[in-house]
Amino acid sequence: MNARNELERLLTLVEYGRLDQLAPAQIAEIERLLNHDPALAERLAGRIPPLDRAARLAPQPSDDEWQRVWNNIANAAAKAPAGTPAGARTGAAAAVPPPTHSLVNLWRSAAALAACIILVITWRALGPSLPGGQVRPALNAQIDSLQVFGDRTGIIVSAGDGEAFPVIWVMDNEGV
Amino acid sequence: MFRATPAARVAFFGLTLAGLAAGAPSALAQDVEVTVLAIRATKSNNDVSPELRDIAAQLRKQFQYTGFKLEQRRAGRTALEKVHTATLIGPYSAEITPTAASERTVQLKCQLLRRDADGKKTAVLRSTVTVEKGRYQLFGGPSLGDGDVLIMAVTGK
Repeated sequence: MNARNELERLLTLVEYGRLDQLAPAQIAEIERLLNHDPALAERLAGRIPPLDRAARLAPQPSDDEWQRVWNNIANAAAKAPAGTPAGARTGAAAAVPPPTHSLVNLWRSAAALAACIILVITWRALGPSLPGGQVRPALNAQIDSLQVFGDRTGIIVSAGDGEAFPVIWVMDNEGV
Repeated sequence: MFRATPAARVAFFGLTLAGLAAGAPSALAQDVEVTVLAIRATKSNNDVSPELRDIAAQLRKQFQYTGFKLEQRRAGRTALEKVHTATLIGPYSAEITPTAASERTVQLKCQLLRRDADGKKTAVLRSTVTVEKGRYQLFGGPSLGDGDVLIMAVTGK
């Protein structure tokens, strides 16, 4: 097989779209010849690209069919959870971060801050220390009523030097 | 449309609670903040909690106890005529009900309860006192064993 016949065989393969039967070196050689031989390039210029030809052989969707497809996509997007990123709803690549990502992080930070505040408040409410300082007795307390139950006796003792304050004392006779 | 996430709900709840606790104007403005202290008075040592230093000096002169330890502090906000329950030390607990409040004073119905061995609570004392807001009324005497006694201090504001 001479070079001319070999070239013709390769061009025939190209014309019939059998590119898978060509080696990379053969493709490179064909490309080089086409770039340097206008007549040869003219021969293949009228040929339909294999993929395009295959597409033309397949039945094309009608406008109604395209419209139905777009309607299905729109309906599916509307039914997706609101938190679902737009890329996930449409099937697009997930390279773009969800738009609510930073907002969620902000609320997480706020939640952590709120938890700290609650912890401090709870500690202050339940802890034994008194932020206000000394316990101050009620100097002018008014004892409106007093009942003591069981085997006990109740008395009111006045404590304090200059500023007396009443202490209700229960004499416990029951023991523990 | 933004929808509240669980984290957002937690944050909203926490910030609301913090605002209320910080004294922000709210619907709870008519409530009373009740505080109950449980103090252990003893003759076995001279230890005095820092918060009780002033009052301990005066109690020592009147009673035979030398040590005063603040063991519990129970605070809570409650509405008038609503009971505030506080667990104290030993078998004791308290039920404090604010019954009236003015600009300077608050009236408190105080009940000291003792839990028996079978778990039943019985009243030790019941008293209604009117005190200046922030000032503590003292109730003492119930035994904690080993010679120690309980002193309950109650206030409202």
